[in-house]
Amino acid sequence: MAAFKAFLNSPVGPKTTHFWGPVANWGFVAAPKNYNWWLQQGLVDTQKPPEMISSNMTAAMCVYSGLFMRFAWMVQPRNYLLLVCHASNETVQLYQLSRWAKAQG
Amino acid sequence: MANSKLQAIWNHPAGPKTIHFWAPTFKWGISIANIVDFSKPPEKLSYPHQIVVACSGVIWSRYSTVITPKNWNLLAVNASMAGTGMYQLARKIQHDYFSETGAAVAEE
Repeated sequence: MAAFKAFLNSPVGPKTTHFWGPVANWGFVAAPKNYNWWLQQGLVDTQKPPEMISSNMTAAMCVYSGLFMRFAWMVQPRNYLLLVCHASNETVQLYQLSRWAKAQG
Repeated sequence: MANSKLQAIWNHPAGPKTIHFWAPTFKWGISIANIVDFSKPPEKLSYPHQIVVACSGVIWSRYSTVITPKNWNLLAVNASMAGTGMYQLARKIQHDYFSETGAAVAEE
């Protein structure tokens, strides 16, 4: 209980923008029915056949999340929530990239 | 004189030697992709997606002014994301609810 209260009042907690920024990023992962070609990238798409994977977009997403993982680490205050968000996206994108590469034969 | 100004930028805490510069710079690519999509027919746009783009743009704009170092590049790119998201939403709403062709869609 005390730990939860400490979290609520922390300088990077839910009363601050430092919290809601990263939360908003999860929206990109979760938003259903992504019609945009550049956002056909979320977890849902790991179920899709590898022919549908865009290697350009996936590679760009790998660079993007890599950059923002570093950003989350270096920014003041250090933002672990953002780091985790981008680390998971990085993992998903690298996985997609490996699925695409395998399908190239 | 120009030299020292350039040097000031080069050595800035959010300048090109730091991640605070490159992360937002790369994000401009996403904003530009949304601008390219202005020419997409509204039927192809997704409400949840554009709402996420607009909301996250607004939240992140605020974020860039409360971090250290303050990041105007990040502010600019997220303000642009918010703007493009809201514009796309307006296009889609206009099409679905306020136009002849869209009215049929909205009534489904």
